[in-house]
Amino acid sequence: MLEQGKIDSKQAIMLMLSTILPTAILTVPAVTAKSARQDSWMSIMIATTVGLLIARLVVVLGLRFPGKTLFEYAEEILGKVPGKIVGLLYIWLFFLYIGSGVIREYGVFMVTAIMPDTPIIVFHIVGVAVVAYMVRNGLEVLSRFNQLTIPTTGLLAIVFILSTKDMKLARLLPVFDAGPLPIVKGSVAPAMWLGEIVTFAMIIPYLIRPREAHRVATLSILLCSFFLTMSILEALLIFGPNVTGHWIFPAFNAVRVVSIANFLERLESVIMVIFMLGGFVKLGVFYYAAVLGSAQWLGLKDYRPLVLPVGVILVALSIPLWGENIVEVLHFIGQVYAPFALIVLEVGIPLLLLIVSLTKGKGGESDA
Amino acid sequence: MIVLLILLFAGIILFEVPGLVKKKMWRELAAFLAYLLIGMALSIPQVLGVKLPNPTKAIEALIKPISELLK
Amino acid sequence: MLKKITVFILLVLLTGFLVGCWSREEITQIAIILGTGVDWTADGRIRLTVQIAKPGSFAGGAEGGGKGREPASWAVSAEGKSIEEAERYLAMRVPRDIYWGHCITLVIGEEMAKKGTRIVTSFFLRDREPRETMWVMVAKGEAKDVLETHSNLEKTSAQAAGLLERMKTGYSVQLREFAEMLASKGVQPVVTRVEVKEAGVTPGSEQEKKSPAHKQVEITGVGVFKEDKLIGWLDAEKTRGLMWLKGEPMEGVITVPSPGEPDKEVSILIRRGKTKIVPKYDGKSLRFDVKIDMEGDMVEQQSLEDLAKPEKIKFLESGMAEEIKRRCNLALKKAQKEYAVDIFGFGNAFHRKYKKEWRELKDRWDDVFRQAEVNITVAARVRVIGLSTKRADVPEK
Repeated sequence: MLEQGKIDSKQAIMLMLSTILPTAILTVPAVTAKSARQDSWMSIMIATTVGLLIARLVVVLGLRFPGKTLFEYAEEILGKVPGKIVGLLYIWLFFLYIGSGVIREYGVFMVTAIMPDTPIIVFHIVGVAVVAYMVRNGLEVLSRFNQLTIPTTGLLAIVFILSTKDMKLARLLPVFDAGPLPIVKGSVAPAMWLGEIVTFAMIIPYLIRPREAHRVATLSILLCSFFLTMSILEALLIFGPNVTGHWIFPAFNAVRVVSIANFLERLESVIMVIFMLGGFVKLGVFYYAAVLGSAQWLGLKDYRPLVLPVGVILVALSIPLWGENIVEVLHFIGQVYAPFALIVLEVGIPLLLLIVSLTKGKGGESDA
Repeated sequence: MIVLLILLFAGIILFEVPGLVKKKMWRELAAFLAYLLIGMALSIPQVLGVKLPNPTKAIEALIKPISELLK
Repeated sequence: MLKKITVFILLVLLTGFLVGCWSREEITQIAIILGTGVDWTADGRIRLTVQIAKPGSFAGGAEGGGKGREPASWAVSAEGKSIEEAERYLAMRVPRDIYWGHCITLVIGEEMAKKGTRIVTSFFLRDREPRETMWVMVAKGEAKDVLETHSNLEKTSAQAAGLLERMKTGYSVQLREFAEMLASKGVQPVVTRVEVKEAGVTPGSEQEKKSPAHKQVEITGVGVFKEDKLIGWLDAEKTRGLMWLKGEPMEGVITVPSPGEPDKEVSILIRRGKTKIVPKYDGKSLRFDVKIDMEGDMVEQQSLEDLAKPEKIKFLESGMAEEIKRRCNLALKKAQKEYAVDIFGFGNAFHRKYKKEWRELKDRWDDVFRQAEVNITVAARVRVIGLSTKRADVPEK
């Protein structure tokens, strides 16, 4: 096996939390609030259902082929050539695509909200360099680092409690104002984000107890949607639907509003910490998946030689792939890539794999 | 800029290649070089100011009916 | 060994890189803006006035004693076609980097407010430095004058104005709330009005003469907006009515006639309260039932009678309800009849209950609101009567 490390279920849950959440809390609230407005929480509920189904799909597939990752069982199910094509799709259109997207979001956020004078490419290169080191050291190091940094996510809850002073429940009324269509539209982006649980397919073989994979995936999705709902509600309850939909990073603005007794204020660094540390892990997971997947795709004995070249590719893709300016970045993420990835890569192909493997009778009986 | 980039690539090659040659991992070496070439092909034109075709545009065209719905 | 040396070199190099970053701003290199004002000049340009803190006179002010107080701020203005342009002209006068992160107040001049405040708010909401929590005010007259005053008690007039807002002595609005009101069709914005007025004197020692009466910032009600344009004012008395109808911080003092001696007053300090707006709509006529619950403390009586009796308190309570209702009606009438704008958020209450009907009415809401019938019912309660029952300074009969 390429990866010697093993992680336990707790680490896997935390890793999945960091795989989904860091960019989700920053980007999703705006996209969802724009269409679903005060009913955004319903969009998240729909997205959670979709996410749970995707999680189930991925785990059922993974358990039918114990010890194998997405890339390995895709070949086994579909045959050599179609399997390789599916693998290629995942490397280039999912792991590298989202990976470079994470780098770009990270850079855009730093430049927009914190350090406007620094060239964006500096953040890209520095970020990737740090993460490359983590990925080279393997899955265990990645999840240990994550264990170290994940408690910062709890700050989200603290900030939420601190900002209740500025909230008004009436801002969520009337419920179901615009009808079902905007709510469904608003659920696409969060569903795509929660659907990133597909990366779990790369990690299932390295679980100490694979039998717990179902629980891991379900819990990860539920935790993610809990924090996502919280950050979206925070922004909605503070700004109301009209204003929330027009911020680029509503969660960031919402945190800026917190001011307790004139001294506990300016807490935006909290969001920054979560986003930067979490963003590193998120990038790490996708980076790792791309490297490991490539190694398996090419049938290598070691994935480490690929780490640095893939890092170069990630940085090189981060600018052209996601557009010239922030407007294009937001458009590509919300209206182009999110529906595409959701339909094709997160639901379509896994479902196809499962159906084919069931009809061909491939893979061991799933014990779930 | 271009000099820095070439230095970076040289650094990466120096870092990885000797170990791979010593261990006689030819397949890995080939894969490494292939990926590095892709990386160069993607980054050097950007530094020189050449615009690359953007695959996201292709996805945009593919997914257009759905993006329209999402507006 | 080689490894250790490499690590050491790396550490030294990294510390060199990590401490510095592009956008660092040292405190001695930035001009911290405490308050800003925007005016529309006679020749149609934007004048930006900023009050900049002088950090030197903030530190150790108390020990300075003998030297006399140096003003802690500097107000400077510049004109331009837009706010950012004016800021760039300012930058030619201010020898440091202008830093908006600590700006407490945004004062909009009367002419600017009449011209339209959306011209002003965009910059402050879009730029990353100004915070959405800064207090927004409209100046009666020019914003420049407000920023050029000096506060006797606080270090700077911007801080003084910010503190006045924070204490909610009037109706206070943060930038984010202003944006929310501007973005909503169910409520029209109201913004604190500030004026520069003479406010007391600074008593001097015998040798010095008493300093002349001092001009200071004062909150004197609210400005009423239709969309983003200022169309009128409410004075302090009507502002209370507005706040009570909106259900915003329910504080304030009212005086009611004393039960036994109607020509003498009793003061009641309102502690807390709740407002509930219930719209009733049958397709043609629109009615709002407003229910206000108030709780207050009796703090002062001019009459000599013993008020510490249940039936007297009942009487006070009904007087209190009467007075609250009168004040609310004053504000309501002014808004309905004179300005014809819904500054109370009745539209939002209507939207919450009748979401389908709202879609038809929202674009002509102010018209609908003008003809709406409003029933105000007030339930008032006196909870506490201070430290004495009967007056302590009246002899027993």
